[in-house]
Amino acid sequence: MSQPTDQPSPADAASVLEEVRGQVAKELGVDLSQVEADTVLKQLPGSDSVRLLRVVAQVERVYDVEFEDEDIFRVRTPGELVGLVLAQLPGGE
Amino acid sequence: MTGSVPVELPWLREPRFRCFGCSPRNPVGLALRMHRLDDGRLATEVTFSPDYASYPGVVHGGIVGVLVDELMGDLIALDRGLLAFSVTLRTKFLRPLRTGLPYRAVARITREGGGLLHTEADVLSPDGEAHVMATASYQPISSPQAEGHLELGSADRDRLAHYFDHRIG
Repeated sequence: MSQPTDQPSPADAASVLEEVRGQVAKELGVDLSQVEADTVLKQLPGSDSVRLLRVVAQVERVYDVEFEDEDIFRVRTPGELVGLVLAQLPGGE
Repeated sequence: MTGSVPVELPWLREPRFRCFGCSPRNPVGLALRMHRLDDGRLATEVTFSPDYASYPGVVHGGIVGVLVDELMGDLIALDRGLLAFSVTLRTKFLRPLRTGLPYRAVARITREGGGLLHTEADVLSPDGEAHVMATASYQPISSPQAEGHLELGSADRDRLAHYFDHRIG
């Protein structure tokens, strides 16, 4: 049986932010409008460390990137998570 | 409810294969049994006894690594007809697995390139929550590698030759 072969698509800050916001909203079961770039993730309803780590792991899979554990535990907002993604994509810092 | 179909692992017929993860001939192994989900992913159900604990009541992380590695490697063997070595296995332990509780592990191939196959696997609790999320890459085994590492005689090698020398990406 054939399997999907996902290739990371080119990403910019806006598209990565949309992906991150969507992953957060899906995992926590909150409305997308509650998740902005500067929203403090731990303050969202239903937020806990396991769910946030699940979001990070899913984002790593989507973009085929790998964050340092220290960086993961420093992330406070969707915008900061976007920064980690962009830093690892081709052309990133 | 997702349907599923039991999957036979053809290499289990090989008398010298005593894989710790999947062979029922290995008395100390996991003897995992696979099935195919409707969406193409490979899955297995497992309940670990206290023999597999680290802390009391908690499944040892290394055993969890065996579980996801076995599932992803078997998926590659089944779907691509090749045997592969694990190159990298990354496992995020979100919650501890408990001994005596049933878990389902699911795996899929995500992409291939640069001579590697990339996969991912989740270990799900009975309520469907991911407790473990793993990603891995695998390198197909070449004939020289098989000869050097698998302790195969010439008759074994000939019979198993179709599993080796696949080119990826």
